[in-house]
Amino acid sequence: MSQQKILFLLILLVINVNYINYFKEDKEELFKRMNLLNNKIEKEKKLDSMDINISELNLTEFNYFFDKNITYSKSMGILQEVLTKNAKGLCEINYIKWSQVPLSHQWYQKLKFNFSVLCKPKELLLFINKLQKYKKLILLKDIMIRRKLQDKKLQLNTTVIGFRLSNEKN
Amino acid sequence: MFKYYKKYNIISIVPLNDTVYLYNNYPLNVKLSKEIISFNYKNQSPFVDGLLFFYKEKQHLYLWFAPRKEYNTLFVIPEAFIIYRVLLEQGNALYCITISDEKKLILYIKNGILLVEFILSDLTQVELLKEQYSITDVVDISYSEYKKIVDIFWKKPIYLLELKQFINIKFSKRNIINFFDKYLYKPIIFMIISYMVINTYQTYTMKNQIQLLTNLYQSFNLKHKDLKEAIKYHNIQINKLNLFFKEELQCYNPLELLISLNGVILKEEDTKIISIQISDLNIKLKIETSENAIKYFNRLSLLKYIDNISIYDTYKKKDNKNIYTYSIQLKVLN
Repeated sequence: MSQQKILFLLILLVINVNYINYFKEDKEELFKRMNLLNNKIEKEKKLDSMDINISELNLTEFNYFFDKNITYSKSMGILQEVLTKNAKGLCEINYIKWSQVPLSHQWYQKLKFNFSVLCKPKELLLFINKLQKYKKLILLKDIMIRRKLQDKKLQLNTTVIGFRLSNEKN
Repeated sequence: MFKYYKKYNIISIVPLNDTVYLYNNYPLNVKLSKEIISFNYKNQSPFVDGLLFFYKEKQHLYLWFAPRKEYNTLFVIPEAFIIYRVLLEQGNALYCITISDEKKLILYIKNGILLVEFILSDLTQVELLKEQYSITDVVDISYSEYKKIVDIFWKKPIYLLELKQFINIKFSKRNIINFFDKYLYKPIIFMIISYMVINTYQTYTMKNQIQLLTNLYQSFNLKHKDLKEAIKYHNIQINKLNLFFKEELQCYNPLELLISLNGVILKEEDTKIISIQISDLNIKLKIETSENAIKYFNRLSLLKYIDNISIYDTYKKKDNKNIYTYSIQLKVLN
């Protein structure tokens, strides 16, 4: 075997080693990238075929909250008016007391009242039903119903809660 | 099959005319290496600086001497061995094989051992041989049958396993370098270059493919940008609402609770609800009745949303009516 042949083989080996060390790309990495892109494209195609209308993505559930453009106090006033209007002809309001302004950092604020009414059993149910059917979400919590023996009426003490969208960006 | 072995320089055959046979035996448990056999028997060769082929089987040693000749194949086998291995299956006998018009090959197999093997031109000597070894069975094999015997050998792979004793590899620096130069140098260079070329080509095509996929993905991405943002915003809002429902709306509808609690008391019964207190999942129900407490306890227990119920307190009024307070635990909403 001539020395030229050995030299040629050695040079070729050196080139090959350098090729592996410095020029050869990691094929596994390239495969991973290709797979990732293929998966992403699949998702995009799926999205394309779904034919989603952007306007359909607007959630109507937020309509049950008092608007954030109306201030907290005004919202409380509106809710109080709702309570008094719905009670009219059905119940006699004993008292309505505003709770403290909540120090909430959430995306909604609670509009809270301590509320007390006096009415007959059937009217009480009608009154609660009316509140629940109101276009905004109204919750009654900590309910206490007591029978007044002298005039056969029921006294309802409860916490009325409405919800207002907050200006906080959370 | 044999022609391929010959074509690719795998097997060479030493013709019958070129070999001289010698049988020997040795004690069991003696290990004979190639060098020991050569040292002990090469001096018995009729050829000057000739070749020695051998085959060991149990304590039998079959030796073939041949004149010196260069064989460049992986195996070199005496033809006599091939004939012996095939005839061995036919049994013990003196075989007279016609290998040409004037010559016959004589093989004497006794107890499976090849005792004698030589070529005769004078056929009268066969009779002498029969007398010498007291042989009665003589099998004559024609020229065409002789050719068939050789073919049978190459067709049976089991015989090929026996060839390992005839391996013809000589390890020396020069041989290795020659082997490398002749058989490995070009394939190695070819492999190295092809490896680099194929690899580079593969990488190039993969990168192209990645570029195409990236472009396609970007075009899709641009097309769906608004939609994706809307979906992202939508999902955030959904999460917000889910949290809200979890934190604020995990309570029963008070109207349904009041109606079902009221339904426990029948109109014809002399029973009144005095008070109801609902706080989260706890209810305190106070009733005035002339009935016993268990009756309403049982009825309340039947309500589907009730987890646990107990009679909190009981007392009797002056008009003999009882006042019972039930403490009710509601099931947690999912």
